Amino acid sequence: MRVTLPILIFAKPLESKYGMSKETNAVFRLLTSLKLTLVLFLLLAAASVLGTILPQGANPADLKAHFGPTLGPLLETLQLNDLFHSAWFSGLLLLLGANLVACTLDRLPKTVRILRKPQAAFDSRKLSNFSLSRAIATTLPFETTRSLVESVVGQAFGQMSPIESDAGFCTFHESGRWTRLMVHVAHLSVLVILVGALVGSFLGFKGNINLGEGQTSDTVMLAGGKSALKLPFSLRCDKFTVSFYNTGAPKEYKSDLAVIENGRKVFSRSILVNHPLTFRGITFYQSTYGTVLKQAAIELTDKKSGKKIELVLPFQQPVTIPGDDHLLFIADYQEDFMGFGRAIELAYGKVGQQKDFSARWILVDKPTFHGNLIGNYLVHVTRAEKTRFTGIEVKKDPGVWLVWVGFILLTVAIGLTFYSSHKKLWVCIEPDEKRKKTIVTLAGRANRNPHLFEEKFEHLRATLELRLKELPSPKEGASDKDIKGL
Amino acid sequence: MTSSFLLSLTTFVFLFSAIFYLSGTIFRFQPLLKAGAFAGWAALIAQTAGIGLRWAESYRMGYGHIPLADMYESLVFASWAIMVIYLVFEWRIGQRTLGVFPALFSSLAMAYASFSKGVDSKIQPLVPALKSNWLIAHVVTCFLGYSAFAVSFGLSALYLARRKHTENPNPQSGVLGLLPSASQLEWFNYQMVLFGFLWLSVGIITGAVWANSAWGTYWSWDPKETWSLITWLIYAAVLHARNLKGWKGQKTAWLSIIGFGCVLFTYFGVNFLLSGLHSYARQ
Ligand code: HEM
Repeated sequence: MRVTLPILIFAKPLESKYGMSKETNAVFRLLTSLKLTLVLFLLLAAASVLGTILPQGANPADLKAHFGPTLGPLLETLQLNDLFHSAWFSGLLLLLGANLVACTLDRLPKTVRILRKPQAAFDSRKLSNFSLSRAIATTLPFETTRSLVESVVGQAFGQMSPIESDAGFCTFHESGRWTRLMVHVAHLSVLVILVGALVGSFLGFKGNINLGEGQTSDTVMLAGGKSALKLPFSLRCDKFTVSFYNTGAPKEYKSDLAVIENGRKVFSRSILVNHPLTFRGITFYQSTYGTVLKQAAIELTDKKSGKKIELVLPFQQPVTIPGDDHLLFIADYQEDFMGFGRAIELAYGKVGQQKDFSARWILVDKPTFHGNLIGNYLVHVTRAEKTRFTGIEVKKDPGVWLVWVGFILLTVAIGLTFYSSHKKLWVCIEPDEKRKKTIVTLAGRANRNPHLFEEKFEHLRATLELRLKELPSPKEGASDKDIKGL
Repeated sequence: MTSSFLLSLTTFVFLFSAIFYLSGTIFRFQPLLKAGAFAGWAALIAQTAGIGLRWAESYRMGYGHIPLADMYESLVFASWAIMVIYLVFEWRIGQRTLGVFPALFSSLAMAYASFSKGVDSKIQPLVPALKSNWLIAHVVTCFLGYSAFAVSFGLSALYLARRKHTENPNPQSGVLGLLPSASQLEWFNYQMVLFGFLWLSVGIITGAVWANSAWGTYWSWDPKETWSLITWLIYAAVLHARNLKGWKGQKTAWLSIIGFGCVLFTYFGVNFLLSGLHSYARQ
């Protein structure tokens, strides 16, 4: 019977010499080679070692400062400062993938042929050639021996099926044929994981949102901080709490979140570390927390007239200075500005001329600093009110389920590859007319863990030898009982 | 009696076990080997009790959790797992001459946990990131893998020693006289690597699943993660190299030794040597 699995139709022309040019064939041979696999494993390991030693994510200036003017730029050219996302590292991974595909195309057809092969024509004399083969001679007559052997072997190995044989009686047990597929499943699962990772990196995104209590936002800062993304809904933080153990270690971070769509709350839940929220395929993780400025009260002193003005500036919201045509707003805030303590960045400009605003850092903790100036005013910050914000990691990864499937397949397939095997056992019983004896021949084979199989085989042989001796005489009816016992 | 007292006590019992195994092997004296196994089991029982006690103590302190959460607890578990794996293996193969390295490693792990200044044995509450059932799955599986690799290291070293002395005309004499044959040792080592590889794979996978539920990324190339992958790649190489002509034997034994070096680096090196660079990279 010819095998018709699609994979074979595909693989056949690759295998045959005339279906493929010499060069393609050579490339295919290289890709199927186990040597390449080994080289790739070791190269990937070596590259990963480098990636943990060299500072990843360091910018060119850092590299130059750290490694000198020749080595620094060289590291950057080789992308060693972002090794795991470099083209050549991805190339190595892709090559491993190609290696896996080629290896599977090369070997799977052979495995499938073994799986589909019917039991070949059988010659009982060949059994003694097996490396695992034993013969037992007994004085019991053929029929008695047969029923006894069938019962003992059946108990030890399970289902037996008789096979045609030229002399006497032969029976055969086979189990775990399918386990030969497991190594291919292990290999394919690695491919599934790689594909899942690719899908995630091309079709997904990752970023973060910082929300103060009561604040609403639909804008995600993407990883790297260079661009932003608008969500189809917005997120509001109703409350953020941190609790601590009596040792001072943090116990729990919790954000009460609400999802707002078209101005209405459609969903609300609290998130904790390890307990994210997923809405429309986008997942929100509790990641960090911190404090931001809520508002600041300032006192302006006109340098010329000495007139004083008091103002309260909410964070990043412009306020007009009374009696003036200028706006003022807090553009930024730092807990520690270059070692001088708290500072706010004040922006100042004419109404309607946003582009020409000038900005200055005003030191909160150093009120007498001569640089606390903006426009015509001396600035004194009288009060800075802060509020907590929660840092939420936002992620969409449409490939993650492929990765999970790959993980499960890999685990199961590795386990079965290691701890199950394709086992065969043959038992033949032949009368030896000349010596008035019956000969029982056992032979077996397992493709993996031969030691375990050998143990079981030896145990069977010992049991059989004992039982075949045990029966005192064939006429006592013990054999009848055994037959019924079947 | 407190758990940490009981646990530090096992350091010495494991050490006795190692000494018995070593002298039994060198002097080819079976009763000493038996004593080694006996001491090993005794230490294991005491250690199991110690771990249980610590678990109970953590509940009494009001922040109960399975003792698998910090350096101290993981060292104790590693020591326990190495000896469990070895003793079950010893019982399966019926040979007692391979216990020197496992018993020594268990003792060293306990000594480091109990007496090093760098390891705090106080029971700590769980920080939010550790509050997950994946903690148990991840730590247990990883350390089963690491522990099997520790046993594999011993087997590889003995294999290489045995190979060197194959020309010995009288195999029953000499220091290595009681050791199994080189081909048997090779087979044992292969079995150990299979076991370790399976558990390390599950360990990395459960770690990835956990990271995904805590931070939204199943893989972020953080040094610890990366080193566990390096370890995994080395042992994957061991498994495949066995199918390559000329690699089965000495080369795979050396690869397993390098693999265990990677295990040690994943566990200790990353914490002590890479942290500086890591924080530099994060600046
Ligand atoms: C990360 C990638 C890979 C993983 C996780 C993996 C996993 C495995 C495992 C678990 C085994 C069984 C080991 C044993 O029986 O001792 C195996 C065997 C094997 N692998 Fe891989 N493998 C990978 C890549 C590859 C590649 C790229 C090739 C391509 C040549 C390959 C070719 C083989 C072969 C020929 C066997 C032996 C099969 C047999 O004994 O019938 N593997 N692999």
